[in-house]
Amino acid sequence: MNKKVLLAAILAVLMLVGCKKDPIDDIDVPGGKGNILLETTVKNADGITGTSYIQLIESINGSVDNSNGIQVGFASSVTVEDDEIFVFPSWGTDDNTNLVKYKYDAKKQVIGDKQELELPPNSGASHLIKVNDQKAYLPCYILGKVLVINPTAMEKIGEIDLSSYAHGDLSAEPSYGIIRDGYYYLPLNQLDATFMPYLDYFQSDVAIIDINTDKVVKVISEDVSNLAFPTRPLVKHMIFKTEQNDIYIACSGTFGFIPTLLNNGFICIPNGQTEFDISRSWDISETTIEGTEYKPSSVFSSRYLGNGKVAAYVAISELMGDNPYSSKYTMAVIIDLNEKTIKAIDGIPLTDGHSIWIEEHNGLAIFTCFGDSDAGVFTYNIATGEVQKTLSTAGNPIFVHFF
Amino acid sequence: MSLQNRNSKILYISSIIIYLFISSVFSTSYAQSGLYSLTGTILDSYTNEPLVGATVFIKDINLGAAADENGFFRLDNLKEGNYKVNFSFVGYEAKTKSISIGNTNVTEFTDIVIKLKPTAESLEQVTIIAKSKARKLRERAMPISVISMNSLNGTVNSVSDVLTKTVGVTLRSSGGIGGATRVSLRGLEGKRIGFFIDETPMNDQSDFIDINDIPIEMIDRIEIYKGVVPAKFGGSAMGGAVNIVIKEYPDKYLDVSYGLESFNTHKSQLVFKRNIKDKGIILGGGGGFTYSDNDYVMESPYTPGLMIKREHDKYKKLLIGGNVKFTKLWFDEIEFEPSYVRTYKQIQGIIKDVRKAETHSDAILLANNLKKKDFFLPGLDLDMSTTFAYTMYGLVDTARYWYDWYGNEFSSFSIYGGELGNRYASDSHNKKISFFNKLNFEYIINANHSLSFNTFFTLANGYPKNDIQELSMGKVMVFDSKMRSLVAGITYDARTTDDKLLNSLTLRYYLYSMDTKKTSIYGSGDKVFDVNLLKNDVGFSDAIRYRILPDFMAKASVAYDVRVPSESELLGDGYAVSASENLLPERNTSVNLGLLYDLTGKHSTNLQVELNGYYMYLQNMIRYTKGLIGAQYQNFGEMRTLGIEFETKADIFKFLYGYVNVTYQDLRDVRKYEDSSTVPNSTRGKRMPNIPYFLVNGGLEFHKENLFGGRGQNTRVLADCSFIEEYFYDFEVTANQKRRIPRSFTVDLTFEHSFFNNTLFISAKVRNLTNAKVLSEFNRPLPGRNFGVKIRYVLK
Repeated sequence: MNKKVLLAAILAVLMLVGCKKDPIDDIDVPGGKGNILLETTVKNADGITGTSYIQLIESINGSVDNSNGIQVGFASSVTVEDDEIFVFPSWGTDDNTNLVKYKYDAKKQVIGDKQELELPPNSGASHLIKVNDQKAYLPCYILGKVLVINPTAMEKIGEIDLSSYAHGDLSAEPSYGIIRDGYYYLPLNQLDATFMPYLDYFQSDVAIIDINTDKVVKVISEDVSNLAFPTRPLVKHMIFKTEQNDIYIACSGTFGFIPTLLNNGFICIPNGQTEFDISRSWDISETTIEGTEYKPSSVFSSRYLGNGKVAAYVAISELMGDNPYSSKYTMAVIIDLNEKTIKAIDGIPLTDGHSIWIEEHNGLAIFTCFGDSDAGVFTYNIATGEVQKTLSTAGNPIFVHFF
Repeated sequence: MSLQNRNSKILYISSIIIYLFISSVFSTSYAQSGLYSLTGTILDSYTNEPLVGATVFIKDINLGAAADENGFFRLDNLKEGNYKVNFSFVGYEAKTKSISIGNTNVTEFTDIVIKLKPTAESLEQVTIIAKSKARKLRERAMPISVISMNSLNGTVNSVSDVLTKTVGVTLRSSGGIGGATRVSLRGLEGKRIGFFIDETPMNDQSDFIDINDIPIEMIDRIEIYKGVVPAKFGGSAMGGAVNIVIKEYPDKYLDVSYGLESFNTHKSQLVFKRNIKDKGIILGGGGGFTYSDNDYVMESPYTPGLMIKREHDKYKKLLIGGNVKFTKLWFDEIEFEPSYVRTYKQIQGIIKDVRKAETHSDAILLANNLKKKDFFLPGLDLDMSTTFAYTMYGLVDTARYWYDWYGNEFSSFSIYGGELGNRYASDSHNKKISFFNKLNFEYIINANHSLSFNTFFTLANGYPKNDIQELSMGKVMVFDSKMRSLVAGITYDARTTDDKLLNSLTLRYYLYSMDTKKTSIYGSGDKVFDVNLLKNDVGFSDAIRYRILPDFMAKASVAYDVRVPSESELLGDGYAVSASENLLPERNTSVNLGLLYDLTGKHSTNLQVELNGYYMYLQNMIRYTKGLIGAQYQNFGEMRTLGIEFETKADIFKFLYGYVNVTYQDLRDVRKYEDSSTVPNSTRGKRMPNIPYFLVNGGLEFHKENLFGGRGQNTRVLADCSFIEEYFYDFEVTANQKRRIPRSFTVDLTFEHSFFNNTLFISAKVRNLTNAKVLSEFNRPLPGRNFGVKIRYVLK
């Protein structure tokens, strides 16, 4: 080969690769249009990382991929308050620490303006409870604090330190709360280093916070019924008010991981009271699910449907495979708080631990599901009990909201 | 040491180099007056092979030289005149040529190619052709890149610097000296890629030596095997291997060097050797010490514009080793090598300001090597190495508070401390006893056939201890463990008499066992289960090389390899990652095709052009699966790779060497279904994330002897460029994909000047000359422009 030709080739290649190319523009405006917000998760090859996508869709019929999605953190949780969409940093260390707020444009049915608020790293913040346009509570599960923010300005305006109420460590793990009669009822998970309830403290605590002063009025405990892990920080609707303004709290227990301690169920703070009514606590681990031979070993998620009926996903320990992280052992059920019965919903496959979101819309309970052979959104007609698979998704569907 | 002081030191040493440079320039005119050089190559007239050791002699002035491993010779300081130059070599007819020097404007008479004819007597015998080691390796049947380190020994380069310029290789680094470095070869990385020193596995079931720990001065060459790894290396690497070959030193040797680099980085090293020939004893020893503050400034990958100085990334490493070899006993060689390695590393936070957490380790090793030719049987060669290692290591994470980058203080979760976010405090004092034995028997059946049998046995007993973790967790999480593995292989090599065809067929058998205990990682239950497993597997490979023309050859290989799960994959960490004793080994099917045109030693350009294409199909991929509140390793990945690599390098001019290599590797997810289901895999056919797919490297090396005048001096200037196309951290499923590892283009410049016939070296290097922003992963900022200078003295 001619030396000069070789030299020219080397220089040409180096110049070619050295040329600057404009980076592909980041597009923060999501594709997709509609009045339904959907979040799906796609795992990476290493399994430890991955990413999730939020997008608007027009209906929950047919199938949808993620080509129009906005990329958010791996399994980032989403809170929707009115026309504002709050996307939280994913847990772990591979994502940014910003809380991102998108404005939903109801007229155009698109996601619009974006604002951000930087949160402390690894805070474990995963939802917020809006008191009004100027104030919202943002529990930080890992830090053991509640940040008080202005959700309109996206500024921190205060914080509530709960470390003095923590058992065994310095975080009481503030979970998903609810506001009733001027008080913020905030369940405390009180977990050990393995994210399990302390065996010597297997109970449910709730901090009652005055929403005018942001002070903890008191912490109440249900330490009689052996029910622990009240609500999960990433899952809305596990604390809810009934038509009678009673607060019910779903307790996950040990997620079925400790075979000798499968207690799980519901506890209640009746209307007008700031103490538990122990007589209304219900450990569902002793109740056989009608239509099956199984008993629930944990409540993974729930949605109150009215008249004492709760749609829920419950864990069935007997169906847990060799690997609890990918096995499908979570069953869709209807729980009757009044009759103390649990019925399996036929037609919705057993799902894994990621796709357990339940919504309610137009007389339908909407279940996200990732089963052995089917993934997507299923509907359950509350009146007739009819079940339909309506939407297929690419990846795990983990959140759905109807504007 | 303050930043100002460090900069002063760098400036001081830089000024010395500049002074030497200027003084050399002034001496040039003197040196150029009337002295000439004669250079050329001596080859076999039939095979065009270089004749290593052939002599060149001018009787009239009593000046001579020997040809090097490429057949190259050089005679300096010739005055104008006519000379009769004699060329000779044992077994060849001598040749005398009249050469007239002077009367021209040139000072060098180059590109003289002398071909010697073998004598009739030697032609009748089996001719042993001396080839350079590098050339022999390139001509092996399997795809391999060989980087000769002779030209890099005096420079500030590290092994990483060298590997990243190699076709098909990328390095993934967490940043800074001593940061975790993973070699990625054709897109495969971690324990799939073997790391060997002198053919002994270093990362199979141990991790106490990092690829950058080996001082570059000690390295003779680096061999990079792609697709097929020789069975005699042992271990269960399957995607390829990096084998670092340590130098054979002269009989008397002393090598001392000291390097000063940016971020208060100091690297010092000493190697000595003494061969007491009459007693058949060779003594050697050496050591190295590296220290770095690693305190470069990075931009937070999470908060744009937030500049962070890495204040908690200090690194210290001490290596001390000795060597005694006996060459006059019953064994041809009996060698003992004791060594000690101490490492200390602070943990640098990226998302938060980690201020106290650190790791430490101490390793004591004793190695023994035995070699014997004609071991009880003519033609049977024994080569056995045995290593015993005792390692103590631990993680200290006991800080009661942790901080964000704004200085805000937060309490650790555990009352015992911990700032890394593990929910427990740690002050571990783990111990590990390892034993490795590698045994190779090679039997030369005849000139065309040979058979080799090899085994590699490892024993690893782990004794973890972490009292404060136990207190934090409320139970014992880690248990003593015993792991054993045996890889046995048999290889049959066949070569045609005319050396046109070479075939190498290997069969391997894998056997491994694990005995330990485990507990449920959830809750404070104290139920403990026994874990006892024993598994085996088989693999094979075949590699073929066909010489189409004397300088042009084709290679093909096919392999079905196995990687045994590592201890950490089988056992988890006792905390967040649960045990997975049912893991199956990974399997990789690969096909490689290559063409090589090689004029090394046969033409003054030493031109090499190589083109390789390959296919890989990885099954039972071991992947980390994270679930609700825990994680586990699982077999569920499948990946297909198609790749093509092109590389060319040559001495463009006598004073200028250049190279370019281009890699395109297309790795795709081919899982039909999502894990543990028959739900269609939404990323099927997508490019595998977090793996670069298009890379180009290129460089030029200018070198000239006595460039600035004087005698016995050599100057080299190297410019290396590296380009990596932008790629995604996640599967690309939307145009809105945000997490990208940006395109990078970096330039490194190296200057080296040696004095007194390669006795004293002074070199300087600028890495990342253009101060380009470079990220590893998508959130690990690497240093910007940085500098290094080095001085080295060699006594031979």
